[in-house]
Amino acid sequence: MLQIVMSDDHCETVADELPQQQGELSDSARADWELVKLVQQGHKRSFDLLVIKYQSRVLAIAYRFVKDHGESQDVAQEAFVKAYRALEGFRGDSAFYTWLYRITVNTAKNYLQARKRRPQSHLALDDDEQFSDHIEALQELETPETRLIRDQLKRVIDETVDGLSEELRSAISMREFDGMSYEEIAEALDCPIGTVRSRIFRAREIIDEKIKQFMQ
Amino acid sequence: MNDKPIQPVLKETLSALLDHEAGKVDALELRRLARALEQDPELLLSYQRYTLASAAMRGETFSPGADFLGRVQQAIASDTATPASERALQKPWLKMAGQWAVAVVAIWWAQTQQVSDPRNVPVGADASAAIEVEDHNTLGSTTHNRSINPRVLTVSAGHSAASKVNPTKVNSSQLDPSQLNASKRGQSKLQGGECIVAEHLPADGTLRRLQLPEGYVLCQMDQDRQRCHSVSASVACYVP
Repeated sequence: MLQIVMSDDHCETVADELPQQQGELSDSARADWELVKLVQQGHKRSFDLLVIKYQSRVLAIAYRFVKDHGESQDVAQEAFVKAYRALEGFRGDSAFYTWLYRITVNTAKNYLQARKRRPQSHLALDDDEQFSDHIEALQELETPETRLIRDQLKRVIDETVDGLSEELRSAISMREFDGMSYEEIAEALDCPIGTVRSRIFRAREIIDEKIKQFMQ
Repeated sequence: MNDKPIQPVLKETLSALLDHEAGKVDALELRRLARALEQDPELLLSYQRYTLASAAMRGETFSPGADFLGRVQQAIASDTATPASERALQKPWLKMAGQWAVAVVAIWWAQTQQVSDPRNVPVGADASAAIEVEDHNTLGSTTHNRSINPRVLTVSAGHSAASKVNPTKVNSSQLDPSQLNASKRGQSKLQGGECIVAEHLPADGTLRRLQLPEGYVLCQMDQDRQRCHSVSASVACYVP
């Protein structure tokens, strides 16, 4: 059973609402758990990687409650800070994201309660909800400017991918467009996993250079 | 900024991490990455861009913004998870405000650029004077001073915390560390945006929004306007 150890009195304990323990953690959850352990060992910056990974989802959850761009950023920020403070007590009994999701929902509810406002959204606290509806919320958060930037960036990346060598293009495409694991890619390309990892990284580095130029 | 070249092996580990392969990464390799992250902010930037590229390739919507991580880091460093309005009342620098007359200034970091916003007229300060910036990093572990040569534009004059809040004045703010860091890295990321500024008045701790012109950041000045203090997390700037 998941435990949320919060020093903030406003945060509810939601242990009773939690889903059953997941038997097998996904690759993503395993990766998160590795990062959590690093944070617990004192490598505080490793938490930043979790923030980067989940900031969009957490923002989307917050937005679904408060329906305001600025306020949802405040709630999302607060949720991450609470998670960080409680991370020491996290034992990996469930996926990190499940845990973070509950913290975000409670933070948003408390935020609205403190302002005597009712939630704009009634979220069902189930796993499907965690992973599906954030996309819609993020789309609502988009402005014409960010949409334009996204489209331009997408174009830059697509052109860069097209210009990659065959071996790099295959590896990155299978990973990003088809969502294949390294193991699956290695099998499809008939090469070692280490080679897949290296090719994907090299492709990312080339794309990254273009992104840096684009951002400048 | 760390000028040493980033070891490709660490970035390759980051790349694997992005692909959820960290569970299969050697524990030593992960620890080495974790140690490097503490010292080299460029690694985090790389990870952010990898994430951005990945999202773009999948047609996903963007994340909150480049400054979000900085805000979280800043809030963690300040150890505050309470609402912004309450946070504003808990800051040590608010207690110090009685000793300081606080002025809010916008700093034009790139001296060579021209002021494009006619609302911002240089007042008082010597544009060529160097200002000492007391610079706390985003996790608050180190502090050092450095000199910058900004063009100083006074947005509003400050006053002590004991006096009543004048709604026409902004009486406390400080640098957004993510922007400060960006400038330290020599990147042109400084942008205007909407900032939420915590008012000083302890009784209400109200927030107000301040429109920051492109290229400006906020800082808290001491009385003689020679030092800019970036001390805590009560100002959040949103890049539009």
